Amino acid sequence: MGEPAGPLADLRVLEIADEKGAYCGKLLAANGADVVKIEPPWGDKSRTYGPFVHDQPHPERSLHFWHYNVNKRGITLDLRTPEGGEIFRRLVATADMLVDATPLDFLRQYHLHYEALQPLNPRLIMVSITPFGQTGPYRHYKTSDLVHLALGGQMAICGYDPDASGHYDTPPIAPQMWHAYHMASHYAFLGLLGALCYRDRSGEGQFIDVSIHEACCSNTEMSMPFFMYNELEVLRQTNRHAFPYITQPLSHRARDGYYVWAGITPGPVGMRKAARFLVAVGAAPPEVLARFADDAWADSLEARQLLTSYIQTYVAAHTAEEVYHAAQAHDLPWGVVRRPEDNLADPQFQARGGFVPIAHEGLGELPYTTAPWLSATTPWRLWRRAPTLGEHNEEIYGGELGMTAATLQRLRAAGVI
Amino acid sequence: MLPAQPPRLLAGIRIIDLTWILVGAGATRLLASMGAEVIRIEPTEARRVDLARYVPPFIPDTPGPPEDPFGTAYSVEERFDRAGYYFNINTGKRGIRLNLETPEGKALFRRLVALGDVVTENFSAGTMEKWGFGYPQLRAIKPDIIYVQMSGLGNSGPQRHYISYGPTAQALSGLSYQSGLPEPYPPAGWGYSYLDHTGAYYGAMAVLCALHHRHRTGEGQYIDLSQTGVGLVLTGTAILDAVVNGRPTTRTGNRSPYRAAAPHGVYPCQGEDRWCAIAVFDDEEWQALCRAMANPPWTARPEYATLEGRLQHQDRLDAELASWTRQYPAEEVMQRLQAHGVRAGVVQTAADKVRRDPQLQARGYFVPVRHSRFGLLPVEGIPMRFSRTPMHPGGPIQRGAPRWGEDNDYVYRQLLGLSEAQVAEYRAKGII
Repeated sequence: MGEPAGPLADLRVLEIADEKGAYCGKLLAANGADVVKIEPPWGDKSRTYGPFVHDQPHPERSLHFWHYNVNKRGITLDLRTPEGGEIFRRLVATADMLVDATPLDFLRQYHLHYEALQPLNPRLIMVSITPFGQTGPYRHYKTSDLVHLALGGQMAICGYDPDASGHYDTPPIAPQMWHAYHMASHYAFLGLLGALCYRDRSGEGQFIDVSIHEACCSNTEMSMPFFMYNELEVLRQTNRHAFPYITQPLSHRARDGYYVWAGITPGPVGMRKAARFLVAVGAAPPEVLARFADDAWADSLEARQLLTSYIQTYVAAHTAEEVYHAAQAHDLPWGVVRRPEDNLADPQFQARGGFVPIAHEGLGELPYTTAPWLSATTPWRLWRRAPTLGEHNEEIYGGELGMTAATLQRLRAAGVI
Repeated sequence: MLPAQPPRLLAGIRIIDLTWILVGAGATRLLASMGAEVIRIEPTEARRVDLARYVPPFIPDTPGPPEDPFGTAYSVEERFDRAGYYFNINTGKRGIRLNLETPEGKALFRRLVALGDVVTENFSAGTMEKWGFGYPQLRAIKPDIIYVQMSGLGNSGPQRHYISYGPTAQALSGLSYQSGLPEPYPPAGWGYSYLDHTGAYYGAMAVLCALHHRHRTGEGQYIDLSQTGVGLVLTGTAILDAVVNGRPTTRTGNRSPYRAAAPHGVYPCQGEDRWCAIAVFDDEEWQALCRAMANPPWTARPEYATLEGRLQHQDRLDAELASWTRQYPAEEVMQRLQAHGVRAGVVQTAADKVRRDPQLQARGYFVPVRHSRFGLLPVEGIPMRFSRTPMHPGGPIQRGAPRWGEDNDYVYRQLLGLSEAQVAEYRAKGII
């Protein structure tokens, strides 16, 4: 292809995963691994998740499925059938990694769990992503993205300010959009890669048990140290950090209706920087700077309140993008609360190749988000749309496992593939 | 409990770590917990030290809520020792002081890079170049070095000099907009730095990918990670929806925008601000919920029998379900529903996670590590178990986060072979 291959281009990965683990497979595929997604002959459940092309629900029109399965090849296989299990074992023998997000004990039931597979391929690194992990009293409990974000601690710290009396009249908010499974898939990927580095030295594979619950629990920042070390709970507040007390607002509505997140680094230095900016743009009187010269005052609640009122007025008189660029020119870490699609036209993301066009029959090229990091040596690459159901059956079963057309025909008729 | 086993997934890997706050330091926490030797370099000037050493919570002398939670009475050095947020993030790492503004400091840094496999940092763009340690210089010192730079908007492009914290990146990438109740409510965003945690994951991923590549080819590399770019990747479905269907992003609160479900949300329970999340995706799950509640009369409404009907009458359904959940503690709602196979979970606070989550307790999620001054303290654990080579937040040194300059002797005397007199001299000159 002339372009550098990804860092994982030497790896073959099998994936049996719905929304809980598909993103892990995508991360592997974006880094060059040959990821083969194994779906049941009736299709993975996540093909039924929206949004759909032109809002027409259909297994081949799920934009969710497309985003999470780009770059992968796809085959069908009913693992519950004896012959399906046999074919799976043959595939496992060719694989470096297995990404599994089937329900707890599903594979064991068909004798396809790690201990049964390991003798076929001692180098195999297998990760199982389950709601609560392989052990513990909750391991059979049923969950969802929302339920995980509740149990994990995200919801308790996301939402809106309480009223003046401290009472919450709005519920905790789940920042949904499948983030519970992003967190789990991120850890699964990290686990696989750590185990790969170990295998590079030792030749030995291993099994990794990822708990989605724990992945979420480990992703709530300062709420945990506040309780672990001070037994203090934090309070959720509108679009800013939950904290042991209610802080000044940081999100302000701009003239164009967008919000700006206008945070100030704690301490007098950050406060002075914001004050100087506000004076420079004419949003605060120059004489205010003299007051901010005093460290103790600059760090006071009164100073924060004063700055907040200037910022509110300033932001309301400008567009959010104007505020963003003006503030950043003064080294303030402010940002527009953009809609995701606003970024399609963003020059920074364009300069860094944040969107890659992928061709879809009948729809032309669609922009896929990519490249969280840039590397000239082993870049992220997306080049192939998500597979249609069983798209690579012939290529893999025929071409790679050497099955005849007649065998494939029979397996298809028997519902094995 | 089994005695802790030092992790060895990355045994023999040494990371020269210039990261700070969470987005960078979280990456090297993961690598330390895999067994890499992480040597964290901190400035010699107190005012330049990691913000995470300045902010609360502070570890008190006796357990329990401190009288002065914001540590106003603590001296700067006292804060550095007691900073709990820092302690949780920097566990398992070694820590030294080094002044990179001085020629002697630069010379020591060069010697360290020569002994390292990976250099990590998350300064603003241009900082390393200013010190004379851009990738070409690092590579001249160590040809196969892996240099991972983590910045807000990335080290190229017209806005490479813009600065970003977690909430900035969450705002710019679109993640904040997606979170919250529908208009006219403003975006609720995230009550924490999700993209600091997540940016840290990608920093660690990049290191691991590069280590594997180096193993295969002998080549190092330079990696330029953007925190907002990490956020962008996670918004892909919304981007496709906007392009293919022309649909602008809207917020849907706690309802289920992409997978039809009703009821779906959080429901108030007994007590102040206590909630239980409930998600019902099909009619079978609805019937299970009805059984779990012992079939209150309102559940018999014929329009509730189908998902379509429940979706149409969601507001009323939510109010009726809330009238049931309100009678019970959140934990009881969760347990009753789960006993019937209904997806339900308490909206857990930090206290719930630490004290009342039997699953976390059974899995030993919180792990005690040793603070060199205060003894054993808990840190957050690792959400995965390895059959052969476990991760451990205590890292290869089986210790908590370093005190400021705690490992100066180990690094300067043992690794670099400086004499006691040289160390004392450098110390006196503010170089280490």
